[in-house]
Amino acid sequence: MTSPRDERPVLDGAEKEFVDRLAREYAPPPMTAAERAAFDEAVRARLERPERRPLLVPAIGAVAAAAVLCFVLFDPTGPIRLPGEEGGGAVVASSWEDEVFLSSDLSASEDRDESETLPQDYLAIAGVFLGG
Amino acid sequence: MVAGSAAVESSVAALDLEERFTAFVTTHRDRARRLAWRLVGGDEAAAEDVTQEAFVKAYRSLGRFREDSKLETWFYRILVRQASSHRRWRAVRQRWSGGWREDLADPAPQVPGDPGLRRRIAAALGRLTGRQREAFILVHLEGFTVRESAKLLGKPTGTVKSHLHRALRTLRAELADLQDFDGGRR
Repeated sequence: MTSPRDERPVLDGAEKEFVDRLAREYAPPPMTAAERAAFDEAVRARLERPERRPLLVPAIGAVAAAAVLCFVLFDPTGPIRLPGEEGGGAVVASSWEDEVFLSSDLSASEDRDESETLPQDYLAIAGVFLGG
Repeated sequence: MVAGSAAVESSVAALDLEERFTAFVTTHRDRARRLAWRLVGGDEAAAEDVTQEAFVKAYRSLGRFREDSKLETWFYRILVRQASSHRRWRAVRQRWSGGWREDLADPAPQVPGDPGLRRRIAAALGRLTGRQREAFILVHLEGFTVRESAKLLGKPTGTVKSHLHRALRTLRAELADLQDFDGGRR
């Protein structure tokens, strides 16, 4: 790779000495014959493994994200319930949004833990991803 | 007969590829591992991993390169990128696990020399920008020319020279005491 015409940075005596010392001190121990053999064996073992497909990981991620999105947007279990509502009395999402965003009594809930107001579906998803 | 001949040619080509690869690994193994070790901050296991992965990639692209010199440039470029990627992931992992700075690996205890000094050098190199560190290691520690390093880093030679100048200035300031003792030898 090196040709005589290649340029090299010009270092003065002190700089050269400094660089040489770093090169000397900051180096791994030379490989032994056994380490070389083990290294070659490890390379061979890697070659025998099936080639990793770089598109597979993003594809799986995209499918997982799409699945979560579908679950959130098109909840198969039924309409979204009001926060804290345990069953029956289900209301459609627009009513819940109205309740949250248009309520004049929001200040009354300021001290509450917000996690308590999350819908059950969101809590379930959070549980899956955050392990909580 | 033609099919048989093609099969023989194919197996000869495969054998040729194997021999070429074996020779390539034998020629570059030690230097590649040492370069990776320096680039990843003295982490023995990471250096092995990075080097082996670069060789695997080289093998899979061997057919594309008729000249070993081009394969060599390509291989070292892959190696530098693998090492850089390793450092980034390590930094991310440490940030997520609560670390506030990149923890520099303690070089293997059996390495002869001064482990404290090695840690200091690794830390000083770690404080350079990625490109400064790579340029410094390639040119000053590994003996690549500026032009070769520019090719490996995908940067103009002027940029590499600028990185080298800044890296050397910073390192000399950070490790000033290394120059104060008997020509650098303690």
